[in-house]
Amino acid sequence: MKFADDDIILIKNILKEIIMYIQNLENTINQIKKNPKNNHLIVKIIETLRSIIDLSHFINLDFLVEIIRKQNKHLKNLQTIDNKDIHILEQLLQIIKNTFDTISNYANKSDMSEIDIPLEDIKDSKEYKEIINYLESRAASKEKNKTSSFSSLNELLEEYAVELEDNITKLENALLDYEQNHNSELLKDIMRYFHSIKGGSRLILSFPENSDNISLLYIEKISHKFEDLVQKSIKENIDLPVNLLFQAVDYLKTLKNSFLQNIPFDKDKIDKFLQNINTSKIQHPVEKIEINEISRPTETISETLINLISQFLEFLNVLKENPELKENALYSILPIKNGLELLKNKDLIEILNSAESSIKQNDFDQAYQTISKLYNILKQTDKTSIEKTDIELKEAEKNKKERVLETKVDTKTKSPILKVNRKKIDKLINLIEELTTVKNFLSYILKMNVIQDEKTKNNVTRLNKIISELYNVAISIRMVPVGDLFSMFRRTIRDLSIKLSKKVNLIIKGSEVEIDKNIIEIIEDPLTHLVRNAIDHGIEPPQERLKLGKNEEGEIVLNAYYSGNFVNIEVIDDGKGINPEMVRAKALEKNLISPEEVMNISDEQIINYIFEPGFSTSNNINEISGRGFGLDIVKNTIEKIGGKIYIESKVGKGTKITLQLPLTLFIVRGLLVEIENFKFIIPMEFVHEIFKLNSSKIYSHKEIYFTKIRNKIVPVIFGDTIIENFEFNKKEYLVNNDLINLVLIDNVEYGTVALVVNKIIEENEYLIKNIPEISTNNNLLFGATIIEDGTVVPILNLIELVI
Amino acid sequence: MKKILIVDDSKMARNYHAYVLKNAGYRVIEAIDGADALEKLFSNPDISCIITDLNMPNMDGLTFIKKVREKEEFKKIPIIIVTTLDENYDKSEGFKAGANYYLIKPTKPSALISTIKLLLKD
Repeated sequence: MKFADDDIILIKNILKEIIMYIQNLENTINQIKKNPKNNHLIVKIIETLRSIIDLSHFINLDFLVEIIRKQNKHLKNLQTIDNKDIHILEQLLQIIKNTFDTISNYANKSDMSEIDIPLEDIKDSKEYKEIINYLESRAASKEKNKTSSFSSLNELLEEYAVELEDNITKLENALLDYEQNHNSELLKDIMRYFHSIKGGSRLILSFPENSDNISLLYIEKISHKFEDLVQKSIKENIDLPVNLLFQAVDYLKTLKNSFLQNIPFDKDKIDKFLQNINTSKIQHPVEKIEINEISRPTETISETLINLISQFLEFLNVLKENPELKENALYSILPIKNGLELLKNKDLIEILNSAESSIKQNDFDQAYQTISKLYNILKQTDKTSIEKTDIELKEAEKNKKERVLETKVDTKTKSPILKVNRKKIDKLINLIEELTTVKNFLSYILKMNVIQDEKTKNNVTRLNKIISELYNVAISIRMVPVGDLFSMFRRTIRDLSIKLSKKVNLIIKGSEVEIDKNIIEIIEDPLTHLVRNAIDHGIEPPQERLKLGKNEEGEIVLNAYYSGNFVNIEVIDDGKGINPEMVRAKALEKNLISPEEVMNISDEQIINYIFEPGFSTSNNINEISGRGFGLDIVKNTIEKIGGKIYIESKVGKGTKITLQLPLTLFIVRGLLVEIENFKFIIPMEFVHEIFKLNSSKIYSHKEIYFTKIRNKIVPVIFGDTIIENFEFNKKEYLVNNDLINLVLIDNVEYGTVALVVNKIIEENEYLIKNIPEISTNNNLLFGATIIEDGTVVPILNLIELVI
Repeated sequence: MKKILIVDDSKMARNYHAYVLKNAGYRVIEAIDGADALEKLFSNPDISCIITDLNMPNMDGLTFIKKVREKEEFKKIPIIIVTTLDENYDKSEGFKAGANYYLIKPTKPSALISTIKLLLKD
């Protein structure tokens, strides 16, 4: 294999970069040997291999790209890794190593582009073929094992899950509204939600794969029964048994989870529940759809025709009372005529024609009789006599199908909200994140000035820009309004206030405020805890409130608003507040504070102790707000995502808890390095190259250090540039003639600079968190992250690095 | 290629019907309720057939059918109602509103296609 001149400058850089990936791969393979079930490691291998694919692609190492792609495809379907897989991975690693070793042997020769590098040997090797054979056979056997030929069934299931969830939520909200305001429109909505749930379940049940799924059968049963129940109450104008309906919603939720996660549920309990509901309706069995029916219709024309004619008879009955429908009846006759023409039976067409003229003459009774005659003849006709026509029809059908099908769909829908499966969004964002690594490579190529053609250069620049924008949009997709989360609490508050015989009114403010979906999921539990606390410990019983001169009905406010780069969420109650004296006593008792401190601490400060581990102000433990170990977990959870929690309380007036939350959880791809026992993360966008250099190659002049890389002078900087008041002996680094690690960093002002690091640990994705203790006015930091071992590691922002 | 308008508030049901019809060589236009369907119909006057659900928010199926039949240019367009068997659906209501035929949910693909074929004389 020969490389073009243009490639050579790339190759040299790629060779340097590839070392890290190979190292990564080797480490991860060793880890996975000990931990074959660790899915995270498989993902890591896939990612590293992907990076290797990217690099190989740039210099047209097609055989390598092919084999790694196959490997990745295989890995993606694995949950655990067996010995054979590890063996294959190790062989692949060897092939990757061999390939790049071979290339690097030639890389320093001046006439590299002239030489035919013997990469074909690798491609023809026994090992290469063994891997390819293994992966292909695995892929083929997987294909065989596919249970269904209907590839959209899974998609249908995904949609069903989204719709089911949506309908249950809407149903619950409509019920809550109905409870407060007995409105007949709401009843119709409630009925419709049950109806939709039923319809969806039936469709899924109609596939043989799911026809005996017990959770689905029960979802169908419940929604069916309750649709009837609601309908009955609309017809007879009676109030809905709301509690029963709430129970039904709860069962639907249970069944939904049981269906999605394949967990068992208490069948007898639901049976018992359903027995108590009286509806006189007969169950209709769900007709089964044969999968292959979708591509091969089995219902014959004559069957369809008979069905149409029987419907037309019903139509004629209506027509007798509603003569204005005459015109439409004449249109309805057309398909029957079409069918009879296909059967080529002139006698039958005659009969139909006479019925048609009866209709035209307004003699509907006559028409009815004639069509009845037609119906009976067709019903009695021996099937064999029309079979032949059916076969001909099917033949024609087959021919037709071979045409190329246009699949344009008008997907414009009116609603501004698009319901999308979570997995799809995550996949999209992952793909876009992958694109950003390509973007980094593009910027790199642009900088290397290897593109001569102006037009290409402009387009690459444009592409680069578009990818950045795409990434921003992708992030915004994850933003959802907090209102959905807030309205969930309507049910919690309703159930709790009934249980505790308290009266509580929920006020929701700022539901339009948007926040990262991932954050919503994380704060759901803490927020539930706070709301439960507010009702249980905050709001007084109605009688007590009246005595205090308060409104009998307590008030809980959930409020969200933007505040700079944060979203604040407040949980406010107008209950009894927190008594600072009680907190003082408790904190002393639990040894959370010393007697001296407790005297000096202000009331405002002392109430923060309720967030301390093990603190509990409630003397009686109950199932509603737990034993007091909740609040410290609440605080912990919020701080983990870079948020803060504040509390204000006035005795007798109420309590306000504020959660200050970041707008999004950002993820950065970075290089974890160690400088003088401190760990740092350098975002990959700054990392130009990683280098090992003999320390003797670093020169100094009046405390300024530099080195030569590819005949260019590059300033060398040490950890002290990054860490203030950080002194260490630079010379120590340079005397031992050791190899030292350099990370070449792109710097706006100085071009490339080389940072000396002691250790390069790994490249990975890190969650950026705002950690208050670190981010004090230091513009060299993006924030920080917490790595696997729990250490807080700063993420460096090297844009403003001044040497 | 003939265009068919599918009106259903369930995305899953729409996709399912669209899948079956597209496989049979039709073009499909989807609408999420009666009001949306009217808009789609007016902007695509070449639609050859309408398949509609009854129970929908905003504008239900029967109201939608009545509105379609009010327009002179849509007097002839075949309209099929899809409905569940046990729904207390009075078939005469559908015919009175202006529907031509109805199908039972979940629709069998073969029944759907052969009915459409007869309606459109394909």
